[in-house]
Amino acid sequence: MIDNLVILLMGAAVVSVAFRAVRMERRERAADKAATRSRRP
Amino acid sequence: MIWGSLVALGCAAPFVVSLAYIWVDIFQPQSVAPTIAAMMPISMVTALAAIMAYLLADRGPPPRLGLLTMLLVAWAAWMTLTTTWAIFPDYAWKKWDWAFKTAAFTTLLPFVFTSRIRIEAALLVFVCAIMSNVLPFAVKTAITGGGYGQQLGLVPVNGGWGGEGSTLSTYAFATLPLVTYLLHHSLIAPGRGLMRYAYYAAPALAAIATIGTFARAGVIAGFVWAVLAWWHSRRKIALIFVLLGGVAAILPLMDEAWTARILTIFHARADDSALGRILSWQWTWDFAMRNPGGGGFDAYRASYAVATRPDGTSSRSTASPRTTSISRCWASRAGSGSAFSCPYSPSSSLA
Repeated sequence: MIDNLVILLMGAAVVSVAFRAVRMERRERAADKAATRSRRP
Repeated sequence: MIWGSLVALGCAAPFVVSLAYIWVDIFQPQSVAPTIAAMMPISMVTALAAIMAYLLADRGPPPRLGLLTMLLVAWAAWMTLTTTWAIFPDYAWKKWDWAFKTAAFTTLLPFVFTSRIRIEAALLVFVCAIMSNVLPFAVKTAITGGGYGQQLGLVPVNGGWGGEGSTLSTYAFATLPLVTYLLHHSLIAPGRGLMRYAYYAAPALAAIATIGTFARAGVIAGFVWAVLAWWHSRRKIALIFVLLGGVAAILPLMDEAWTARILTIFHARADDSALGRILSWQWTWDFAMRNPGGGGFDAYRASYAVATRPDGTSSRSTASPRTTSISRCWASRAGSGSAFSCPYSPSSSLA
């Protein structure tokens, strides 16, 4: 039971890290695009 | 389920498939649940998926060819070369098969993890995969007290690198500098609120897991980590008190078997297991001096001890000196003649 709980807990941590990384990268890209657009004359 | 979630997320962001590979490589779900290995070669499938994801959907401008990449390529080439003149070719090619693939895949990582967020995600997945093995050891030690050779992890004692006590306790401490970095600098999982306590718990988990394994290697790794942490700390006096307080709190709780085993660090030559390692290191040093080109993977198989019992009988084993005298020998493949010889003999008397 301990083993299963640990696998679930750490697995959830890994998936949430991946999810947050994807979201942050998208935000970063969107911010970069907005900055590029605003620099255009 | 975890693997499936990562690969599914990889459809939206291809670099996540490489995160899945890191998780598979370190956590090794195929060792935890052998049914997975029976279903499919999960490591190979993930590696191929990661390569395809990079080539088809994530190919940006490649990074500059750095020293690390060149060293990795040289390493992969060198391991291939040494395998061609390996002492035990059958064993060597078997190990080369996975070692070469791992080294080759590692050269892809700098191409995938190109931004700070991606590198940090890779570090976090690495730490989580390590902690997945450390956490069961720590929890079960807290409940049962642990013991030498007991199965406390997710895999059997010698069923993978997450099961062997010395290896596990060593990498539990070796990961702590990464945890410290993430505590102070992480953007994905910043060390605030509850996350801060999760980071703070990592050294305690490593220490408890090490105690449970009865591994001397872990105690030495813990000592090295403590010295490094103290050296880099800005509050040196406070940290000394914290570390000494921790040791003083833990030591009275240890039973005699643990203390007796750990104290053999100071009398290594009188302990069978420790002496076996020292002799192996001596043999390895001598072998490397005599064979600068190496002996290929699994060359250690040539190292064995010939042990003579008090009744005059002898047996050959891999550095297992439970007897009165040991002679170190190694296999000699000179020519196609005799299989074994003993060209040098730093005999050690245990009497």
